[in-house]
Amino acid sequence: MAGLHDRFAELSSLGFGLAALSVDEPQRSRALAAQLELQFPLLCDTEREVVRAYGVFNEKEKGGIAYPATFVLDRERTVRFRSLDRTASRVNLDELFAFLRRGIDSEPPAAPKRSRIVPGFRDFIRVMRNSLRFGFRSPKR
Amino acid sequence: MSDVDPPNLGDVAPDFTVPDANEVRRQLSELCAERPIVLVFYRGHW
Repeated sequence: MAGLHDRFAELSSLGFGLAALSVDEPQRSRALAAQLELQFPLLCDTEREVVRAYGVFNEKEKGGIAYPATFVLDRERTVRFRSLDRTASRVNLDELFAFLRRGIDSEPPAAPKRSRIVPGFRDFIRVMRNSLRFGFRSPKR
Repeated sequence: MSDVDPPNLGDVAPDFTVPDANEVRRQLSELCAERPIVLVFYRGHW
């Protein structure tokens, strides 16, 4: 969340809004919003209804909190990108922004496991295109 | 209540209305009506 806060201007310039949700009380969120001078809403799911509906409810911690997760929703609320960070590291912001920059209709990044082990068709095309443009050997210095 | 799976790519995300930090009721469908949004779930203070 803090990482996205830092890049809020970039997010806005790309034409995206931002909303962050936790199970915190409004009072607690207000303190955070003031402290960080947030320009986007902090949503307060104190009833834990939203985290349940989104399957990101971590019942085992602190009376039930949200698992970190990131969704990109279009104007019809269709999910265009998602990152569930239940066990893995937090959302890769560079990957998220690369997706946002390519546009909402672009292919979301493949799961890291797949994309890292087996290069996809796109990677192959990219390599071939770069090879044609820049040659098959490393440029000489 | 049984656990639901998080919405997948291509699914319509569940709509909801919750208060924001200023206790103003905010509805997801209104938040994303003008432009697409990044919706972040965070752990919160603990």
